[in-house]
Amino acid sequence: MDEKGKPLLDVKDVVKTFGGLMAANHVSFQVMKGEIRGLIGPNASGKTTIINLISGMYSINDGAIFFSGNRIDRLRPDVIASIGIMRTFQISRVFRDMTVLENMMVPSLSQGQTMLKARRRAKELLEFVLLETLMHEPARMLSGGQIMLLQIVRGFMNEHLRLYLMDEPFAGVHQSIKGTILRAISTMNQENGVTFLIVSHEMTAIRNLCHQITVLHEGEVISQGTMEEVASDPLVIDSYLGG
Amino acid sequence: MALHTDTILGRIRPIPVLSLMLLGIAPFIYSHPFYLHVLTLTFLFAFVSGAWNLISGYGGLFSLAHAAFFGVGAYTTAILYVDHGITPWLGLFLGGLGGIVVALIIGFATFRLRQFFFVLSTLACSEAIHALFTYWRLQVPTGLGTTIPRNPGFMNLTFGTELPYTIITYVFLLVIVLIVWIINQTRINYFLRAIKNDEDAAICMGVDVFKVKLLIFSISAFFTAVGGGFYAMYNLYIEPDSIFSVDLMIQYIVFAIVGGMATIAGPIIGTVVLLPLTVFFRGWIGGLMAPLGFFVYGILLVIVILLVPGGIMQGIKSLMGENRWMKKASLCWM
Repeated sequence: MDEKGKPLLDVKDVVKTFGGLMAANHVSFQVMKGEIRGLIGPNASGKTTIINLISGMYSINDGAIFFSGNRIDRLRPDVIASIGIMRTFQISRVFRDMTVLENMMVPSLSQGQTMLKARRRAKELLEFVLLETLMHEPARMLSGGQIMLLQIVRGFMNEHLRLYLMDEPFAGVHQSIKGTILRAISTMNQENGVTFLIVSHEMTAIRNLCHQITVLHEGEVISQGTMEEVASDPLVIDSYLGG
Repeated sequence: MALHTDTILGRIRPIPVLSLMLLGIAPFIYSHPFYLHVLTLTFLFAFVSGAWNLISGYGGLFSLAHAAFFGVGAYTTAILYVDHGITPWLGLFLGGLGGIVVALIIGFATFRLRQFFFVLSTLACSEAIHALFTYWRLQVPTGLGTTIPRNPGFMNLTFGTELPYTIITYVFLLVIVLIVWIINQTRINYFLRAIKNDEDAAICMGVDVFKVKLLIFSISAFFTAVGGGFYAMYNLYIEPDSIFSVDLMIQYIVFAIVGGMATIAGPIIGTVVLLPLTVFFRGWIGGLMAPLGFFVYGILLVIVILLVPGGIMQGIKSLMGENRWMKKASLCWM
């Protein structure tokens, strides 16, 4: 499907309005296969809206979104997940009354995996992120950082995962858990070829992880490039990084 | 759906199985027709309450559409038997299918809605179907009420004594227990709990929320309609106001809430405790003092809900969690 040189994700001239508010104003950007893309910008610049549009939670008013060359902006979120796009939420949304292990199994079972295989994969991933000792605990018993970690690693359970949309994965997370999250992202990117689109205010993490950065401001893309390029862009300095 | 074949036997808990067996023996111990009548109603409403619990307890969708399923099942069974001579056994099944058709219509109309909007819309749909049936029955020469002839015989699902009714309803109860237990062993159980916890997160994890809800709603509707069909044959008389009664539905909803929603045992415990109480209050304090019976019943309900908001099953589970000995015993529970 992914022809060489063609983007994995192509957001084309996307418009999203909420009443009189223009949350996404003709937003366009492309993410290549295997890339880790940072999506940054000040509060209310439309970053989460973009994640919601790509994941199918919101419908677009105009424009189009392509994934592997196929239009996805009219698909339901569960169908989007089934073609390999997973997401996390800014405020972690785990299934609080289910155990950590059961949380992990949901994406895998929804893709038709057997119970046995889903459980085996879940245990492997929980070991990888050091949550295996908590696997039989209800998710509500976990700390905020552990819940974020669970939310992230749960997305890796989708065996078709190709693009992972992460909304503030490092927000309010302890340094050690942040390290585990960074390690998980790097490993999944390098070993499994998973592409990431990461919304974050954590500039250090973004600088270390991301190959390319897209900067949003008031619903518009104001700059794109490497961290060095966007950091020296006068528009970005003026509207986000500060002079 | 794949089952946990590796642990399937390990998941059968002895205490619930023994309790169910004891309930099965009860009709042979308390063989007085009045006790058998109470047992029949208890088993029947535990069955219907269990069906409601499937979508509302496990799925977290508080449905008030079940009055419609119950009524459609009752009318399908009764009319097929009275007007077309079709055995009520087949009528029960066709009534169940009728319940599924209604569930699909209501599901398509209401599943986009959430919380109170869903609850109220299911009630509105149910009342609309009630009104349709009332209008329909007003057009036929026999009028609103439908009397079912009493021709005792197995194929007519009509008996001269109480015991066969009790046994049949007990089998119904076993069936719903088995169905819920089987669903609990499949991936559907994971999806239902995920939807109940966070529907948006579930859909983003790839769960086809609409399909799962519709499936469980349909199963729940099927068994509720079967219950309605049996209720018609048991009473040998139906009319729209009594069979589509919201009051009747509230009763089996309360049984599940008091017993403990999202548990297999909850609706059974709730019905076993509350239904005989309602019969007792109606018989003992009834007559001119009937409102006093409802008053006492209401007070008791409030006390139970205040003491154990999650239902009797939650109370039992908390007790088991707090006490070391009970904790060990809980391994035999569910």
